[in-house]
Amino acid sequence: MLIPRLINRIAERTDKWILPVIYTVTQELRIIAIEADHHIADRMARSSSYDSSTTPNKLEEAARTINRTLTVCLNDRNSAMPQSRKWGVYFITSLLFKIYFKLGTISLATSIVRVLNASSAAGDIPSVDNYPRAHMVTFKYYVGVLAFMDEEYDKAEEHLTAALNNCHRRASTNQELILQYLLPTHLLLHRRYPQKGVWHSFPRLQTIYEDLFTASKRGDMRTYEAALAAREKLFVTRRIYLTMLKIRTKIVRPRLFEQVYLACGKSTRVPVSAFRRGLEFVGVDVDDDQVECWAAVMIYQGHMKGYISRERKTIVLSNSDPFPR
Amino acid sequence: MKNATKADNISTKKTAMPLNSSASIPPGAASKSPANANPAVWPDSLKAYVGRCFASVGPSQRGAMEKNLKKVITSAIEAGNLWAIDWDTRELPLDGIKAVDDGEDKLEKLAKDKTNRADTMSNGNANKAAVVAKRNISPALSASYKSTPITFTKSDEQYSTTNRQASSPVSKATKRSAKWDQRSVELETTDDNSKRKKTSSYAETYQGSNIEKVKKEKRLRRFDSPSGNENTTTPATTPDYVGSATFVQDNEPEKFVGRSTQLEKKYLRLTSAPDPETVRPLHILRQTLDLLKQKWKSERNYAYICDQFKSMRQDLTVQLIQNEFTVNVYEIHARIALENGDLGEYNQCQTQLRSLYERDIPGHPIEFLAYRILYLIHTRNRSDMNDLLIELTDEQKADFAVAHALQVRGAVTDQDYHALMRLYLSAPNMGGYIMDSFIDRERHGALEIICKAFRPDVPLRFLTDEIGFESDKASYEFLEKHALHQFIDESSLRLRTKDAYATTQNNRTTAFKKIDIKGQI
Repeated sequence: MLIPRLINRIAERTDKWILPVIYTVTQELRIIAIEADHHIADRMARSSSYDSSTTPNKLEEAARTINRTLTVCLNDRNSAMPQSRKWGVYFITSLLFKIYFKLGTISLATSIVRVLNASSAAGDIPSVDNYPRAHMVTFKYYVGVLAFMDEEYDKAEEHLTAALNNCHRRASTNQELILQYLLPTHLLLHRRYPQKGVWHSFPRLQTIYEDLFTASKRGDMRTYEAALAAREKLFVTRRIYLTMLKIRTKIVRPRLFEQVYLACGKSTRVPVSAFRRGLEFVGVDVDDDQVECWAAVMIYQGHMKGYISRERKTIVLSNSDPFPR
Repeated sequence: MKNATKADNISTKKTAMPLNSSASIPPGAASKSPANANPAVWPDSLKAYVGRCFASVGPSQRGAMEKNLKKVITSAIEAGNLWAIDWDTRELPLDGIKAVDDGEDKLEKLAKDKTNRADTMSNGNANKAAVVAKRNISPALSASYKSTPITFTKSDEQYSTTNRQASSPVSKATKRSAKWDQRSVELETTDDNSKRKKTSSYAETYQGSNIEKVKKEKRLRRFDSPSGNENTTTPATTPDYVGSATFVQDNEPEKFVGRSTQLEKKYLRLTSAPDPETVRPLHILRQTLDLLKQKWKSERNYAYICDQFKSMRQDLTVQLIQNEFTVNVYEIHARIALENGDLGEYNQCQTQLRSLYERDIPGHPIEFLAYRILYLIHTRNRSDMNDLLIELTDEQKADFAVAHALQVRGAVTDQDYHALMRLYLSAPNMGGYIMDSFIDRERHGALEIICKAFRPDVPLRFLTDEIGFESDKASYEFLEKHALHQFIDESSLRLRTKDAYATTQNNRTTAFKKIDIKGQI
């Protein structure tokens, strides 16, 4: 821990030549801190006494030191831009993101993003697109994921797509990580499904998503729910679960209703009971009022066009494109 | 370890450098000694010796130790003995220095222990001290409690001014969290923030400037006072111990035991040390609880009960009582608060209960977990909710109340008013009271949806069922209250949805605006 702090002090007076040193030191610090925490956790497990002075907090300490490094890079008042330490900013940020995501302190990550955006807007640091591509891709990935977790799907799509497009063609791990969040985003925003080739190239993603996407395309709520339940833990830890729930409400259920509409010969007047039977067919047993409620929400959110006649217990659908894409 | 060897390299390099300049003088020997008698290189054993000297005294003695060391070293240099003397066996120059035995030094010892544990090299500590002595860097012997830099030269002031000048938001954030940490060490209070536990460990490891050091010493001196007072509260709510327990433990405070035998006591915020005469000991408090339970049943005077409970909580905190009884008191207070719609008081209790449960004190953690989920829905705190969901165990999810709360969460997210009303009317335990506080907001949402989707009208009876009212009359009154009754066709008692839509939109926007701030985390 002494060395990185030392480097921070030294770096205050240096130009950008110190950056490679900083990169190495901070990277190693992170790895060592994680190892140290494992060690401490092991020792804790073995001793089984509640002694809070040995909690595994090395990673937190490392985070603080690296945060200081970020400040040092950000506050380079002395040099001209080409020689400035500011070129290290996004690299350090990416390291910090990795730590914060591991620790689960997402709010700290969002605050860094805010700081960087402010600096960038103020012209203090160059635009992220001017930085080395690797830095830019990692940064956009994390910002995309943060937006995803915050349910800002448009922003997530924008950043994740940019990251994906700039990935090296053979960097398949990175692409897979990006797609893990981009695929649900596309589905939720545009009802877009990945081409078969995607499953072919990314078998791990296939294992996670293919069942869900297929069920979604057919409006098969039963399979969708079952598949989701089977992967609940995985999705929860990666904070994708809530989005998949949203997809169930906004994509899968309307698709089911659409199937009923098609099965009724595209009639514009479909009785509520028909929808209820459709739901029963996929194992969802509810009363008419619940069906009406779901239909009402679909109309309100724009997934279905038409209105509900309470008197006649029918749903009147629009002539043209009642289930907009 | 890599760090130590690197440190060694750097330290030897540094000692090599000053050979070139006559102006560089090994610190400690000070610039006042005769220039001709100062070698630039110190033997390793001397560095270790210096390290041991500083390790054996508390921060207040450092100045004195420095003086003694100067004397010893200068005399050695003058006698030409610098290399000849066996520093490893030399006695430490402890003349005039108080023996180590006050709270500050206990902390130092603990700090040293920490470093010893952290170091894998046997003499890492001494090396570090030597390096530090040479390099005048504020990160002192250890990476924990003490933020006391060795004040050999002015460079620490330089460091602290750099700190102060750093004005970027990132460093401000760090500083703010440091200030927040100090407050947590000074035992500030409740906050529905689980990260408080983490931040108090931040406090212990934060390496600060000299200002920090002075403040810390002042605080430490407070612990030396004979009244055994560890609990000067800041003007906030009742002083509740949470994450600062570790800090206090190291100072081994006297167990504060009250002497009052008065069962009832009005609540007064503490502004100074608590007086044992007014604090009730545990056995008295137990009687108080029974009395209050009776009084609540018979009188139902919430203001009085709340006041009494707060003073009970205060007495418990001041005496550091954290056991099943404490949990019981907080739980009862929380439930009573819920019954009376006092979410603020409920939230305080909830926060305390969370930390008590984490220490495995028995109570009803699952019941309160369900309440917490509902409370997070009420405040629309998405980030805390996400964190909570991640930590849920299967066992917790299986509990009826928790499952119910999770379904409520789902219904609110999906805007599924039908399911939500059913859940509201069947809420277990006291969950209904928490739902009370956000049900109206959801009702406005439901009305907006209904007015958008249903045509041409809906009967009032439908609204009563779907919006979860007890009677048509209640529905009508609600609509009247929110300027919607004008769209009701009096003869058939149906609501004209298309006409009413605009008003429902406004109602909904207003209803959701108020708690928006909290939801924007």
